Amino acid sequence: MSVSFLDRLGETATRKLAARSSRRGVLGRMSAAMALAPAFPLLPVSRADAASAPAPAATLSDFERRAQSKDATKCNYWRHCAIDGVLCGCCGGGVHTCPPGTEPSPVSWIGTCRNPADGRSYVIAYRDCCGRDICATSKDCHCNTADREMPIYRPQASNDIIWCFGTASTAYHCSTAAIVGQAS
Amino acid sequence: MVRFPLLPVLGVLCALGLSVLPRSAPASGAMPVVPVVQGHYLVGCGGCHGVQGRSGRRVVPDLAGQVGYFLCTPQGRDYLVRLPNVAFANLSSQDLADMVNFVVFTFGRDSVPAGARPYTAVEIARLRADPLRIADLHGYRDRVVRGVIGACPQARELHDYDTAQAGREAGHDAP
Repeated sequence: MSVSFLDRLGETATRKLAARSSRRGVLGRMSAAMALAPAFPLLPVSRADAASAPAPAATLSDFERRAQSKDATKCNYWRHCAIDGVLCGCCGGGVHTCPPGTEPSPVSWIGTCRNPADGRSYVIAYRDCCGRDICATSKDCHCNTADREMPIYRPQASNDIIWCFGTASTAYHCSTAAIVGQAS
Repeated sequence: MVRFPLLPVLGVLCALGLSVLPRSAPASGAMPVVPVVQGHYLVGCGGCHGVQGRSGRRVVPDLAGQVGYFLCTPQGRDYLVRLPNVAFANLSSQDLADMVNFVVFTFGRDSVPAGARPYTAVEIARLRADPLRIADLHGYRDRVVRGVIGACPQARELHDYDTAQAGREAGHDAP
């Protein structure tokens, strides 16, 4: 049986390779390649990609740069990024509870605030507490912030409105800021 | 602080058409992530109509279990989008279509008539270009609702809001 040209070429190449290399040498080079491979994604391509991501600090509003997550009775508490009114936490209520003798309005307006503690944004429902005259408390509890607020001609995004509507009394007392969920 | 009472400012802007008390999320544990389309609803509509589409049907029309009835008639279907606060939403027509479909088919649930098709961006663009330009928006809603109930008798609960609104206008009800 005659041997084809391709068979002879293959045999010659295989014998030359076997004569020049040892099995240990092959195993050594393969091991080195496997050990080094994971390092390549960490080299410049990866760093260049990371460098192109926007710096989050550059997009923060003035309020967000000064916001804190410790004291909910201060205007710079992170949930208060768009609140116009007196903080219920200063009036016997809480950041999301109405003081005794008042009732929450069933309607509210909704904003989005960034929590500096985790860098995430949350949907906040600002709801007024109604039924008593405006809360008499420290001026430090009278807040007026406006992140992502719109003029009053877009009332659903304006905090210049007293939301005491659908309650037994339309008298405004204070405002709360309840978290609805994490913004995506 | 300078603020204005809601009723004169909103008039009919917020309270027509498209109600649950916004509920605070638990202070600890996993915080629910709000999908983009639901975020559009919350920021644009959820303050009045409620996080879950319900806030007090005598003050603001319920969406949950009701809004789908409007698709019983062509006029009702158009009405939902021609409402000024919907037509003028700060969203693209595609995003607005996604949001209206979320409201109608998710909040509306069983109120959506069988075979109703979702809104498309093209349909939304056409309808929002022709927003309602009538002073008596309550009266218009009442007529639309009567048509809807004629086509879908089970939609009669839509009239709860109209009855309450008529009472407020006549001075028979709380604000």
